[in-house]
Amino acid sequence: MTAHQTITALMQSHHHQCDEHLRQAQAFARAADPGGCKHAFARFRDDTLGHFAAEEDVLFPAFEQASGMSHGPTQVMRGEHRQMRELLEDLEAALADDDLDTWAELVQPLEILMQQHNLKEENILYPMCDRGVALMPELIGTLDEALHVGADHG
Amino acid sequence: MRGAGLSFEQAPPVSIPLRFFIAAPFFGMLAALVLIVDGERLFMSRWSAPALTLTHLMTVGFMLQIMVGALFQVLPVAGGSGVRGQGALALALQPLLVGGACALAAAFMFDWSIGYSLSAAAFATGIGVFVITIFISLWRSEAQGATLTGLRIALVALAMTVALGGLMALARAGLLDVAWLAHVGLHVAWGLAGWALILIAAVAWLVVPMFLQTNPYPQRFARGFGVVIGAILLAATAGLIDVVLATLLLAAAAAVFAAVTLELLRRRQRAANNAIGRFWMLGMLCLVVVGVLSMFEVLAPGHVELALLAGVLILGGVAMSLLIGMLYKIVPFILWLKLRNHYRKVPSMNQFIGEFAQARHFWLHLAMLVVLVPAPWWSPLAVPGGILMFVSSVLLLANLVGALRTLRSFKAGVTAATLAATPPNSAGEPQ
Ligand code: HEM
Repeated sequence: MTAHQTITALMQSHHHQCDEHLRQAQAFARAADPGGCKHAFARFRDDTLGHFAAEEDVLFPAFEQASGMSHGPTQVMRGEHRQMRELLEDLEAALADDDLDTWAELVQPLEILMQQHNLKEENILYPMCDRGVALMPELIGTLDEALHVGADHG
Repeated sequence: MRGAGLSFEQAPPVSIPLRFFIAAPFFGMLAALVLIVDGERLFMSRWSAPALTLTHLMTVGFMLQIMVGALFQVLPVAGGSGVRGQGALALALQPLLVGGACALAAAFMFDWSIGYSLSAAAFATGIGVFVITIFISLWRSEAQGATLTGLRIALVALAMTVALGGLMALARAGLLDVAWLAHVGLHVAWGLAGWALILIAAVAWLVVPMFLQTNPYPQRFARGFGVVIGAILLAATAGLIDVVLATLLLAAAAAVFAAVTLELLRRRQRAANNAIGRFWMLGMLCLVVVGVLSMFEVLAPGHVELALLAGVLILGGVAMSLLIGMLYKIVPFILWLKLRNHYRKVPSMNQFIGEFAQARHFWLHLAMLVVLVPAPWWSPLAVPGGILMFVSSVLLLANLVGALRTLRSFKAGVTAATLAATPPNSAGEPQ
């Protein structure tokens, strides 16, 4: 079981873990070390994709069911996930060509997109989920497991 | 789970913030002209006609335009909802704010009494509608977070500033009792510490970690900052504490905020080798000095030059540096995002406003400050300082227009390529 008491705390700490990997990848890119960058970026990508999957497969459906809104916030969040997945693919393609310049250019907007996206989730969506969590007491545990399945793939 | 009113829209159409951003440099140019033509009188006293003119060209012109534009952009992120009817609101708002700022500047500069009444009416209408619309949009938002709290308080402060300013303007026009002019201390406190500082801080909680890759601000600090400043201002307005004591506390708060930001910047892994990092570092250094100077002013009043120096640092050092630095990140990002929503391969953010163009602007801006800082003691410096400020505003405009041009030429290129690649009667949907 998870040590986190709320969905917000659990998901926020996972966001921070992703941020940390991305920072490491950026540090390697600045040091012109494509090998290190690839390694750190792969961890970042796997964690991030795992996070998206846990949200789309576990959290969002639960939210939609509890709130009765399936075209609202979660729809927009899914759209942003799609946008970031595409950027992740482009970043990976740049790394495959050892093209650190293109990588560094593309990572700038990804970072901003991600921060904006995370803020919306942390300030709005997750707290709403926490308020509805009485309806689904097992949700945090399921979510935590889903996050770790995502990470283990990496 | 209630969720009404949540839209999560990603961003407003780029034309909304951009129209405000592009207007700002013109106010910078007007303010520079005041320095050039009337610098000697300006540096005699902060209450001189050209000083009040310049102050308001910068506050209700340059700063207000950029901050209103940025608010349209930030609200969906911080509050989870865009502004209701934002297109119509922006269209109606901008002429009122631009007209009000020009009328107020002309009133101060040329002792044009109708200008005071016009500006009071324009700002009361424009800011009134703006603040009420945003409060309605945010009313049902369930969002939490330090930024949203700060934005709400800053908007109340803006309304207070405009109300007090408008009453003083009517007093200067001879329509109200001159006793209203005694409230200038409160007007300045609400305007600078309430509106400008809280708004800058609220935006900083978002933007500093996001754009400058620092750790986040300590949460309690970010949550409490706007509330404490708002409480001090309310207490001073209600007469519970002296305006002098309030000023002392507010100046200390400003210095602490700047010091915390500098410490975050110092501790990040990446050195401040990009232009926005330099602009923000400079702005925060100036803010520390402003805080200390203002405390000194309160404790040992009567130094005309130091008060003028504080003005130079607040408007040129803090406001211009922070806002220009912010624009050089926001504008490339929103234009990039606009293209990326339709096309996969788009120009990079740096191609909208290049690192070199940003760095050149930073050094010119720094030169302007270096020339203007001693100007309170030797006013002839106002002319070269004013010229540098004019060039700085032109550079800002040129960089913003250049970013738009990159957007247009990319779209034109895509259209041309699509036309060339598509057989005459098949529908060419660019993707
Ligand atoms: C919204 C941001 C505003 C800010 C930050 C601001 C700031 C200031 C400052 C700093 C001063 C004092 C100048 C000095 O200390 O040297 C001042 C004075 C004044 N402001 Fe504003 N102002 C704002 C808006 C307005 C508006 C909208 C009006 C009128 C419609 C206005 C009318 C005045 C008047 C009439 C004075 C001079 C009062 C006197 O005769 O002593 N201000 N303002």
